[in-house]
Amino acid sequence: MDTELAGQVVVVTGATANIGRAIALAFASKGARVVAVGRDREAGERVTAEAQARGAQRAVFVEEDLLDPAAAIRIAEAAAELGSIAVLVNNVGGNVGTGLFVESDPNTWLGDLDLNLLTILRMTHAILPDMIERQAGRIINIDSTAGLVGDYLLPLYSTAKAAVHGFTRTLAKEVGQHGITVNCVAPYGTMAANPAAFSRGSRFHPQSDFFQKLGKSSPEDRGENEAPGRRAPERPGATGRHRRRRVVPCCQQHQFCHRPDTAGGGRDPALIERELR
Amino acid sequence: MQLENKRIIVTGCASGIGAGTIRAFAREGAIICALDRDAAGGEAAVSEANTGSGGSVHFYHCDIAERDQVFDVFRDAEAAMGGLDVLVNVAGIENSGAAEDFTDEDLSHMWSVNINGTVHTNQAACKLMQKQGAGAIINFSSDAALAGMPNSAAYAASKGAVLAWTKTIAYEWGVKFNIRCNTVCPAIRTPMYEAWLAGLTEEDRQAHLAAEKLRVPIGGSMGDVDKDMAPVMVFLASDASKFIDGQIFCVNGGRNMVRG
Repeated sequence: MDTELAGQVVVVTGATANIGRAIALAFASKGARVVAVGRDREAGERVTAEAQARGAQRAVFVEEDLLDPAAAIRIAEAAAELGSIAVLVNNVGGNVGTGLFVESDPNTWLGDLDLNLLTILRMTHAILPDMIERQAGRIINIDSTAGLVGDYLLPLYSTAKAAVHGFTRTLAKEVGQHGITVNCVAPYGTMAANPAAFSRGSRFHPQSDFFQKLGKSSPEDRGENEAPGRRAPERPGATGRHRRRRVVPCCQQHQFCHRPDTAGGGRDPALIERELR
Repeated sequence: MQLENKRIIVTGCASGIGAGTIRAFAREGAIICALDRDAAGGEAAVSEANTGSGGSVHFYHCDIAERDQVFDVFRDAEAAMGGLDVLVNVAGIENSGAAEDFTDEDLSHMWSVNINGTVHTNQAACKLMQKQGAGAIINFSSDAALAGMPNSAAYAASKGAVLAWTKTIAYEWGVKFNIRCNTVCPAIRTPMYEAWLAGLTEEDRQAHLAAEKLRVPIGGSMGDVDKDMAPVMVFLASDASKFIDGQIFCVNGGRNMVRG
């Protein structure tokens, strides 16, 4: 089936690792002109080299950090040098803050929302006028199952991703009249075979300790210094040992799943009860 | 070709989405057993699909409401194709009427095709697919099930049942047999839709088309079976979607936008 992507300009943000990298390379294999956006130049050059090898008509790396509010405009300008943008893949994001919401630091919330929501708004805002003028375009937001179901221990990430869903639908209604489609894809956890090729900032990079920390509820468990006064108070009923808010183990069916299943999820309720004790 | 040598059964092949699906699948190199209770229409659609492709589409007469007939035909189809990789269950019926007026007879007829027919074909496919340890099933629901549809309560309810059934087997048969099951909710111009449109008064028809223009962000009307529907069917039948299970695909130009 001809995807008609040959020669089309496709912008992929967060293209130096994992899902974004795979997306950029998939478009490359269809002969697109790929604009790969990321922060790590070495990883970016690995992507563009691989993209060329897979058949991209052009492949350029744009070194930008989308947390910089001015970056989106610069990316749109850099991409425009290759032609009009046919497809924007808003992939950048990440579940950096893990833990219980009640123990989260309000000072970190805006940062999480900025990374997972505002980056998408800024990038989309920067490229839309051109798509509207041409009455054509595709915008694909890489969302997450977390936005649909709410992932335990990922409160800010899940909230931001749910907002991306709302934004996607609303924008689809706004720009459908201009022949522009807006959709989102909600993957669950993914793993790649060659994480060493990823950017240094990727949580999948071999030097990242993200997954060692994931699922540990408190800064103390994560090996971080716990701020004085943030420790959960001891409960009167606790039997002789310090009792912190506990993270119920996940359903254990999936590597990334942290679903506490109060109904038991097929597991012995007595076992869960023991774990809670 | 994305479906080279995939062995596929498509029900409701005589017209509309079923006919468009077998045309697209044939072009993509699939081996197809196409079923319909309308023998003349089915044969014609199959002959059209075979034109310009490898001639790999074969017609089987089958009423999916009849359990024994379905199992017999699926057994024959399996023998002819040497196995079954994908089932696309398009066949379905629609009837209009005020919700308060549906009789038990109306309901039984609706359930027998849209619900029982889905269950029959899915079970027959499951029986064959589990032998080979893999498979894909695509069932058809409707925006009517997700958002409701005035004057089509029985149809909407039957399609709601298809949705619940498909979600359930997506998990159950996924775990047990590695069979993945997805649902499509189309808003596509089909003979069924054209017939419904033709039944309206001129005034109602114009009002409907004007409303559609506002309701559908992309294109302003129902989609085209070959351009808009068939590529999605090819994707869902192909290995490109092998990690997708239990999901709902609204192929509707953004109409309703009831499911994200």
